[in-house]
Amino acid sequence: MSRQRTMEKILASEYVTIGELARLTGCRYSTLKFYTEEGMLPFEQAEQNLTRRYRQSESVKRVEWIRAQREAGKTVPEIKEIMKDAQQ
Amino acid sequence: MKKEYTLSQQFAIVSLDGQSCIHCSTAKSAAVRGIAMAEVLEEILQQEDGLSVGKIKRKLEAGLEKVKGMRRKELEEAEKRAAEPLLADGALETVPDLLGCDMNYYTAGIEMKAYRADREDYLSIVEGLRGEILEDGPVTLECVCLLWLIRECGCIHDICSVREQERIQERMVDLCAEGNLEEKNREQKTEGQDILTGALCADILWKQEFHKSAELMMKSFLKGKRQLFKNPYLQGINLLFPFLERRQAIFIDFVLLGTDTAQRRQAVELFLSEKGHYVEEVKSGTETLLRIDNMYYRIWPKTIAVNRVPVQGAGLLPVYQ
Repeated sequence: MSRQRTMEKILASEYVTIGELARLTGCRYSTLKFYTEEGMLPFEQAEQNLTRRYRQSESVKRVEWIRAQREAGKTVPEIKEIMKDAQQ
Repeated sequence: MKKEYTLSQQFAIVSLDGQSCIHCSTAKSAAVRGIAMAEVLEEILQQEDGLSVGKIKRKLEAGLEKVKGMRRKELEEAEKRAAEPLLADGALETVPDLLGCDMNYYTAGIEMKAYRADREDYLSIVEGLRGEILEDGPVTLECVCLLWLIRECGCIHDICSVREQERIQERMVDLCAEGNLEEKNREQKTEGQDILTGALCADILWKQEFHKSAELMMKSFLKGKRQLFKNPYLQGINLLFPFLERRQAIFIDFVLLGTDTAQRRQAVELFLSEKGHYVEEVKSGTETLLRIDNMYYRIWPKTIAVNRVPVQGAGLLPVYQ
């Protein structure tokens, strides 16, 4: 049975789908997809044709951080650069 | 923590946003019929663990008949029932209608009120829905129900682009086929309590309609109009039929001498903010759009003639995603 998970269950779970991440952050689906494709939002995928899963707390924090950077006037390539530097 | 809403509340937040809260327009009666249908679906989903598919279908058909036959007073009651708790909760609020900012309306002293959904709640519901259906993977019952209701109330073009609508259609056709197969497999098996899946729900719901013929005609017309919008040069046609949907093309008059485009745009933003709307500039390529409340509008300089006297100002035209 596939029912929508309650917010409580989503917050308690380790992994979320992109739809649930959009529900949690209020961020547009297309924006999240763009961040994913740009490699700014890490995800896990068991197999090529299976759903992408995001680590809940990590992804929420990452989206909020990107949002703050965008509000501070940073462009996407600049944000990617900061992320790259932080990883090194 | 984000608020939790029931299916009918989620649908009410999406469908009542931007609708007049005083007058009963065609768009609003379609939305309220949808809310009533959402209440029926909610009841079915609550009991669904103990109902067979046959029973679910019968309940749904009874609900459809009831909703189709709703009279104006019943629609008003349904609207009140849905809107009041949301207004109290802050998920909806009443604001001056954007149409009231049109020169012809505010100079005539006409006061119009409209519902406005809380931006965070609205985005959370709409984007969660888009994320679920546009992405590959399992689809929940709530998602299928919401999509069906949104399609039926004719506001799917407000939340999805043409390409996304095509993708939704593809996914729903696949789900229906899957649901059909599931149902056939079940018929061959022994009788028992069935579990409603997203696919089966899609197969049952997607063929159903709950609109009155007049509303259906309007919806078909809107669909045709939407097809025209695939060509951006024909977006202006919306100016001719602004009364057919919840968003309107409006004209705001002002005279600002020696100003540039950005200053004139700021003048419009200021005017709309004073009227109680949330206005924000959004860059879309080389163009700057205005996000007014939860909707996007294109702005451009415009002059109209009133008794042969030219009046300068700006025109606002709804933008489709």
